Amino acid sequence: MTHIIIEACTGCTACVKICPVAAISGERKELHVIDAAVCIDCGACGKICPSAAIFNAEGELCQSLKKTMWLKPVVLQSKCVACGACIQVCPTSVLEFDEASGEHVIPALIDEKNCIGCSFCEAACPTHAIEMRVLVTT
Amino acid sequence: MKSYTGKVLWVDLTRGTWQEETLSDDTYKKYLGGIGLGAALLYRDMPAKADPLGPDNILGFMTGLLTGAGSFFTGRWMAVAKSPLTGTWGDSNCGGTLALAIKQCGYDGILFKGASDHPVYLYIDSKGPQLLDASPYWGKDAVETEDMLTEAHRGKKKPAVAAIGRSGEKLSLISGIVNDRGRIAGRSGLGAVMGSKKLKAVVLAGSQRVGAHDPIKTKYLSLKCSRDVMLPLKLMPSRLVSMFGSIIGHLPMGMSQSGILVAGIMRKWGSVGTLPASVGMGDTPFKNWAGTNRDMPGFNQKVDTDFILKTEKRKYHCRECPLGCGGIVELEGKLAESHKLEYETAASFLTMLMSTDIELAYEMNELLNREGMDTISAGSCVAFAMECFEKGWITKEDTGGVELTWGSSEAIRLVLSQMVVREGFGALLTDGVKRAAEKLVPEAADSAIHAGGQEVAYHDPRLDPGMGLHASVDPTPGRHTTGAQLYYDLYKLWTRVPGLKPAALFYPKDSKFEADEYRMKGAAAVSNFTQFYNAMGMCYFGMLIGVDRVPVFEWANSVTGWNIKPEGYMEIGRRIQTLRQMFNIREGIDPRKINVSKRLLGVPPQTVGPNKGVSYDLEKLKQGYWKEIGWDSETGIPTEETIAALDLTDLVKAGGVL
Ligand code: SF4
Repeated sequence: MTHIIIEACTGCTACVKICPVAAISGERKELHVIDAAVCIDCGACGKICPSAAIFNAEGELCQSLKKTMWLKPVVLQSKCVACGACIQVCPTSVLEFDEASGEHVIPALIDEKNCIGCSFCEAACPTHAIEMRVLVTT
Repeated sequence: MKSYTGKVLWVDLTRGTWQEETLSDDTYKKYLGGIGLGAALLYRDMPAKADPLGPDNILGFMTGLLTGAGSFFTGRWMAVAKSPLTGTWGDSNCGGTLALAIKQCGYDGILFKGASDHPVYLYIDSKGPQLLDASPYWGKDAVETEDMLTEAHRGKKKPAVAAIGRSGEKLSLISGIVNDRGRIAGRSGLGAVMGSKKLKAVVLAGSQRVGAHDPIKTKYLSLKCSRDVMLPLKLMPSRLVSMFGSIIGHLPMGMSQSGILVAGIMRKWGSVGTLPASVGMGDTPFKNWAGTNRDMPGFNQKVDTDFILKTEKRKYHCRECPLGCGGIVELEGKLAESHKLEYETAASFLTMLMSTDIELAYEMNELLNREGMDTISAGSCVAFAMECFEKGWITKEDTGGVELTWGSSEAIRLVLSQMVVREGFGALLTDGVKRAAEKLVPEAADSAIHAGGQEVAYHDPRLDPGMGLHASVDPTPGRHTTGAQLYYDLYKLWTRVPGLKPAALFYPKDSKFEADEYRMKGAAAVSNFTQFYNAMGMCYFGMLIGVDRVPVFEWANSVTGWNIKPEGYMEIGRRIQTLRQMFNIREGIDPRKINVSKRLLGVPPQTVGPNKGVSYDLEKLKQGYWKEIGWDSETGIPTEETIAALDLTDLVKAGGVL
């Protein structure tokens, strides 16, 4: 079971634009559909949808969330072993090794704007070196 | 959720079509992943005696069973095919980002059959596979190709790319497959197989998730492992490491070594960090294996591996690896960015050629990585040519006026630059030493150092006869990663597998050459274990740290939910090794005839240096190994009982051998 879209969809296409794997299709102003064979359950569509029209894999209605409130990864240097698992599982390639971070480089969020807050990186990290937080930008 | 996807992708390049094959859980339990699954599928689907450069050969890109599931050292992928260099089973292993990328596309392996009539590449993203025209990339080196394809397919997800350079396009039998801007699956000549299929590249941009049966247990094991292998070890400077090597070389006793030292060296220098000690103890060959460290006095002072640290901009970690033995180096004004030298490459372009020009070694490493040629085989080819030149079998007329003298940077640069594109004098060497020797006087055959046609990697079997044994008995001959006595000490299998004896801390050096039960059981165990961890997608450097610190057996169960004991996994390793051997038997290969060159057996013995006076009986060792692994001790052919015990009878029968 993957994410699904219900009739409340207004066809605003916000989900189409944010989906990292191009799993969503539909005509503007019409009901959209998610291709279950392609969807990776990242949850980005559910957070961006303004019409409460998306259910997650567990069958719960997704809550729309302002982008500034999305959780983003923070890498804890003391725990990171630079295995790069987080970089590779990121569906939007927004994590990359930071060359200025020392001899054994550690990953950093290089493209915060395009981070969809899916937490795949946190789940993949074998050493619990990633925490998902709401980043406060000054 | 398990750590395997349960599917492989078959691509038919003749027809331009593809289809998925779903595999049963039992198939994984029987062959695991990586090399094991590759062996089963190739044995099943490749016709016997297929032309290795023809459409019947199958080229597989396989991932390990552990890859992507939260374990460490498991970012290695494995290329499998019939080797055009040796005519035997061929495989080659590489790190970087590709292994996980294959699984993220939803497959445990991608296998190509047939051949295209024009250059193509395979692209896979969330929508599935496509075969696309590669004409714009044909003729470009692998790094250029990777950069262009990454740019062309840079969507939200950055793709992983594996490509051949011009050496593979020109079907060099010592060419490999390159990924991550210069990491290469270099051995077995599989770049030529890719070239013969007109497959320029594989571009993978999938985002599927890989799971584990018990992710919490898997991560717990990983966390513990990272603590166990990353002890804060203040290592000695490289000069002291070289003294340590010389002392070991002079001791009358051998000493079993510790994996934690390997981890420390790898983290600080990478594999090249072992060079000073290897030179000191007589592990590293000089002058096409005919010389010794006495021929280059002061080598370790002139080639200081700490120089490599000074040129290193940052460490490079393959995916899923906490060690990071790789490094990105810069040579001011010469090389903006390059992968640092591996031990094998350093030996190949320095000691084998009697050179101390480390900057040239950097440049040649980059050239070969870009063009996709194996640095191990290539260095042997140049060394062979230099020896032939010295003996007058190759003259200035042949070389176009170049003096092929030992250590000549000009000659090394010229010959390698010609070899990678099969041009000029270098074309003679583009297919390896065995074929080059066949074009010269008959005496040249003795100077062509290889096993079964593949140039032997640079660890002297006169120091560790296990190196000579495995390079001769393994179904892919000439390799250093398939086994050695040193590895028995380092893997520490006896801490997990019942019935194996611990290595003694000190032992008389002469005992290494005995074909006694302890050593032969150990040799078979090393083979079986190697196949097991290659099927899991593990890195061999990681395994050298030892199973007491790297919990590969425990990970195997935690990611799959199986409850198989270490000895059970060792038996699966034996199944894979036996199947690879049966592949060779079906090809008509006679295992008795595959041996490392006489020079590596101490025939004639060296008169100076750490291995002075050493010669040994390889045949006795081979027979002992065959007996222990369950193959006929006279012929090296797996016995019917062994084939039946390993549940391979049906597969082997279907292949027409039994
Ligand atoms: S030890 Fe080195 S080669 Fe092995 S996986 Fe780690 S970085 Fe790659």
